[in-house]
Amino acid sequence: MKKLLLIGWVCTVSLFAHPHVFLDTYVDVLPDKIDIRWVFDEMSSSMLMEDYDKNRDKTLDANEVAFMEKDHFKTLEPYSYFMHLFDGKKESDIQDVSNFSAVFEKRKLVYRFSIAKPSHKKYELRFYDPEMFVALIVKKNFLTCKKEKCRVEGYDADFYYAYKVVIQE
Amino acid sequence: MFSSLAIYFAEANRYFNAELSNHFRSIDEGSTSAIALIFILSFAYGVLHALGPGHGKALVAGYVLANPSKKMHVFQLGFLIAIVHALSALLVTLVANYLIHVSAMKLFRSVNPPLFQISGAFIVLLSFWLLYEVWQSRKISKERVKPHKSRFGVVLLAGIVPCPGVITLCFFAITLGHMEIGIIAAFFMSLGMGLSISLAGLLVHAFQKSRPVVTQPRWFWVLRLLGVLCVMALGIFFLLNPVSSRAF
Repeated sequence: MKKLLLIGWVCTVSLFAHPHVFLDTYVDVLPDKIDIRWVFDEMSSSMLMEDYDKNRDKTLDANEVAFMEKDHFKTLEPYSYFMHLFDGKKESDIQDVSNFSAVFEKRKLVYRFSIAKPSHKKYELRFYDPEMFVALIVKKNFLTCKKEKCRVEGYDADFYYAYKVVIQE
Repeated sequence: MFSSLAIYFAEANRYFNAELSNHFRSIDEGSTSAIALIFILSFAYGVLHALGPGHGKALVAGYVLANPSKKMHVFQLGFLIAIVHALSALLVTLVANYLIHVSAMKLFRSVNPPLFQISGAFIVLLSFWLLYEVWQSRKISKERVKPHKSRFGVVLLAGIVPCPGVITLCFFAITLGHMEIGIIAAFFMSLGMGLSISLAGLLVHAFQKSRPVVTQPRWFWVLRLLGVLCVMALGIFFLLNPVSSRAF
């Protein structure tokens, strides 16, 4: 019986997430929008810079950022940019993002963008990659709210434990 | 409990990723212990990393169940899969960096989906061969089962899909001008992965040696059949569900 339990445990562990890219995810809830900042881990940053910093000057100019947005960031739209809105009844995808910018600072690539603020009084923003390739990390100190009550919690996405931000007007 | 384990697992992966980056940077700052620490961390990262899916554990478990092997053969399977997995990643990294000048992850995303499907097709073929063997032996006891060389085919099928973890590590080392250390670190990482993959096979091996299975040859045969079905299901899954080729 012990052996069976052990096998069961290993099989369950094997179904867990297997991330290769780590994004420190900063959330800033403003009166009219929500600003998101992804800070990539250093290894993934170096890979992306290799592809998008065409002149190898370790900074991203306007053309490079525009190409990065089109060739990299926008391809994440079918994945809802790893964010899902939950209004208390159903989960919906994030379709529209705006104000994209990218910089390379302190050896890390940083993406900034905004999403529209939902009209609900209370909602959740859930952060996870359904393919489990990217781990989005949200800590208490990554969250800023001006007027609303906000908190960071763990989110159990059935097979993948992730983070969510609960926002209440 | 498992949900919490999952987030610890992700956080632990992130820890190793960050620590390895820091120690690679330390080499240039003259730290003498940095290289040794990179190798130790790479080994530990490999153990942890291969606990996640996609490193051949399920295939090894299914194969060992279908084709009972000696303990030594289970270790051989686990470590050889990990080494081929790392070599494949190393090849992708070097070709990407020195021949076609794109990031290794971009090349990985191009080669991974077809490799996954090819691997899946061959795993299905292997499962039919195993099924034939198991069916033939339905009236004999486990003592007659002889380990055969098909395990080397399993090594190739499970290992050929490159490991993105090794790719990331090596590519980062190359960008910092430490290719040799990156390659050795990849080797240590593959040893760590080998240990985790072997563990999956060893658990099945231990299960096969448990009292209810040993004393009931019929159970033993049913478990072998179950192993074949696991291998077949994995192959079909790989074949029909190719990984996406998204940007990352």
